[in-house]
Amino acid sequence: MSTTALQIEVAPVERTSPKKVVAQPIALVSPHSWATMARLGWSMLFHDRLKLAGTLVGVVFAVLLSNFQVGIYFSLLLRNTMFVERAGADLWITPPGTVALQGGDGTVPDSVVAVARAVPGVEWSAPLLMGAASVKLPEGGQKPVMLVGTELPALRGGPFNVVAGTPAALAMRDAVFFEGSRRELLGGLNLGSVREVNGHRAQAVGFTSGLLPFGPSYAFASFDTARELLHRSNHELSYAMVGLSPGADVRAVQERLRAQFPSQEVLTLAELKQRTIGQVLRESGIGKSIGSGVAMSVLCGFVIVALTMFSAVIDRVRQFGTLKALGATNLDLARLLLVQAITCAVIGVLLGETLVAWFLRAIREAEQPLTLPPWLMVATLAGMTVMCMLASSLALLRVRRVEPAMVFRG
Amino acid sequence: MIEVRKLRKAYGGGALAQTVLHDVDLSVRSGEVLMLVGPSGSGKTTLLSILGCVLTPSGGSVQLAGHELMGVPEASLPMMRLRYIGFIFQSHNLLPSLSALDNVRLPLLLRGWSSGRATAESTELLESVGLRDKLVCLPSQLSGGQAQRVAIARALAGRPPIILADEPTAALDAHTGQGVMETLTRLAHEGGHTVVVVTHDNRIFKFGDRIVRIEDGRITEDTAHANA
Ligand SMILES: Nc1ncnc2c1ncn2[C@@H]1O[C@H](COP(=O)(O)OP(=O)(O)O)[C@@H](O)[C@H]1O
Ligand SMILES: [Mg+2]
Repeated sequence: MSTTALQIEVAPVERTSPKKVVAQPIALVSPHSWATMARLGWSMLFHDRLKLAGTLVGVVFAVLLSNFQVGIYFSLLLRNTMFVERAGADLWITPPGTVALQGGDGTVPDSVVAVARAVPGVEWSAPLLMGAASVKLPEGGQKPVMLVGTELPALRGGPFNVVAGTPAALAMRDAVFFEGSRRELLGGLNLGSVREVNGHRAQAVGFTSGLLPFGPSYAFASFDTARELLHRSNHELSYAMVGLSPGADVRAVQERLRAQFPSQEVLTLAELKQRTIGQVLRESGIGKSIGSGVAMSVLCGFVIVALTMFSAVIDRVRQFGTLKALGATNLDLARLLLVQAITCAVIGVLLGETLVAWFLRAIREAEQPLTLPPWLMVATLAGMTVMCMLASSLALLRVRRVEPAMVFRG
Repeated sequence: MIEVRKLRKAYGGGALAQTVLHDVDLSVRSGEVLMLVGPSGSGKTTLLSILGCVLTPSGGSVQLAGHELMGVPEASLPMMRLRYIGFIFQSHNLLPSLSALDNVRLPLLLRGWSSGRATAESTELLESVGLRDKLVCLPSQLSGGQAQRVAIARALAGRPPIILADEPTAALDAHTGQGVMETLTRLAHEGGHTVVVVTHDNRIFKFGDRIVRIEDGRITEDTAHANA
């Protein structure tokens, strides 16, 4: 032990330089803290691959879950707006108070179509009949369909997404197109199958794909067949569709039609879609359930990222202490953590989106369970970056408390 | 270079306060290599930490190059360290994810040096501690003695006026420890650095110009080296 008396030997060290140098305080230049801390942060991040993998799992997890949730959401909305979208009309004349195309909102007199055709800016107008009908199943029981009647030969308003049969076949007596993915549900329908619809004979002459709103699937017939099947009177339409001449202004034509038909509503495609979505959200509550699903997945990702980044700091407390002893400030170290967080977010989103894309490719089919709008990728990146930045603040709280003096202690 | 007057340091507060440095007076001349010795628990590390601006004094006065530390706000301490201090720790405390070269560059980058200048200076320093061929090695690829030499190079980076070392040879065998101390004192004398080395290894006492013994927070002996 060093409690013994001092033993001073004659030093064998050569003191070679007699010149008297005096070291001066170092002049400080404002440092390129971001660059330095970014490089340091990356080196730490990639040095411990296992921990990095843990953090990335958190991000990828949040990306996958939230994208799937949002994808389901848009796919459901799309399925509900697909009919309006594909019908091809720029303007819709509907009974007042229509919130979605379900055929139960009252009727429009059939004279509307002829009058609308004469309005400047209107290229075409066509009648549409729509109503719930029930299909009697061979094994007993019945299934509802949303029957749509459109005018031959143009058949504006459907059928579309045709996967079997030709729409022209709707000119035949009692001919109906059904939704292909509901064939089994409708008692094993095939081309030529005959069913009783609302007590009338109906024959399947073709099939559509993906026309699956929340309610019953769509079925299509000619205007006359539909009127018979739906027991509608001669002079009633459910809706009138309007197509614009090239170059015509939607708003202007809408105003003219409104003036013509003060007791009806005249809606643009966008307005009708908006109402349909509003109706779906109100009735089904999917907005809330999907929203909370996204929130939960982001929360789970947040917790995983926060914990792994925090534990990475705990593991490296000594390194952070050393950095502080060397002169790094809390601000420097906050930048280091921020760069790490953003890096994890970017890598995690790239990995996650790759998995999502791969998954989407694997499940391309009629029901389209996922619809991912392109902007979702950008939104995911932004969301995950914010999530990781917030998650890193837990680690920052710990880093702030690191005492540089600790590095002198065992 | 270092002027300590009536320095007092107490850990904790109120009834639990424990005073570990009692009215310590100490002057270290510019360019001097001072060995701070004493039994463990005597306050050596505490004194060194205060000189190194990682711990604030409780009373008295501490001046580095005429700059008073007492009352300096906590937020200015990192800047004081960058200007005045190079540290060498008991275990080398190199960052394991950085190469030897990058470890030495780090304190220079923190001082705002350009990358190119930092690389040139660091390379030169690593050469002067005999590690020309280890620039790209990670600390895990270096022996204990080599790692401690990198730590010396890091402490000298930017040529700070004061080098503080706490038990720099404690983790090394006797022979390696001698080599490390030789390197440190040679470079310190060449560069005119003021050095305070805490140790209780009496085999390295001989490297000091002066030996100061501290016991129970008080300086009990202050001996100029026979050869100084
Ligand atoms: N952070 C601390 N909090 C409270 N007491 C401490 C702290 N650090 C050191 N001490 C006490 O101060 C005394 C001096 O410690 P130290 O300076 O480490 O001595 P040495 O380096 O000479 O072994 C010891 O009694 C130690 O227990
Ligand atoms: Mg000690």
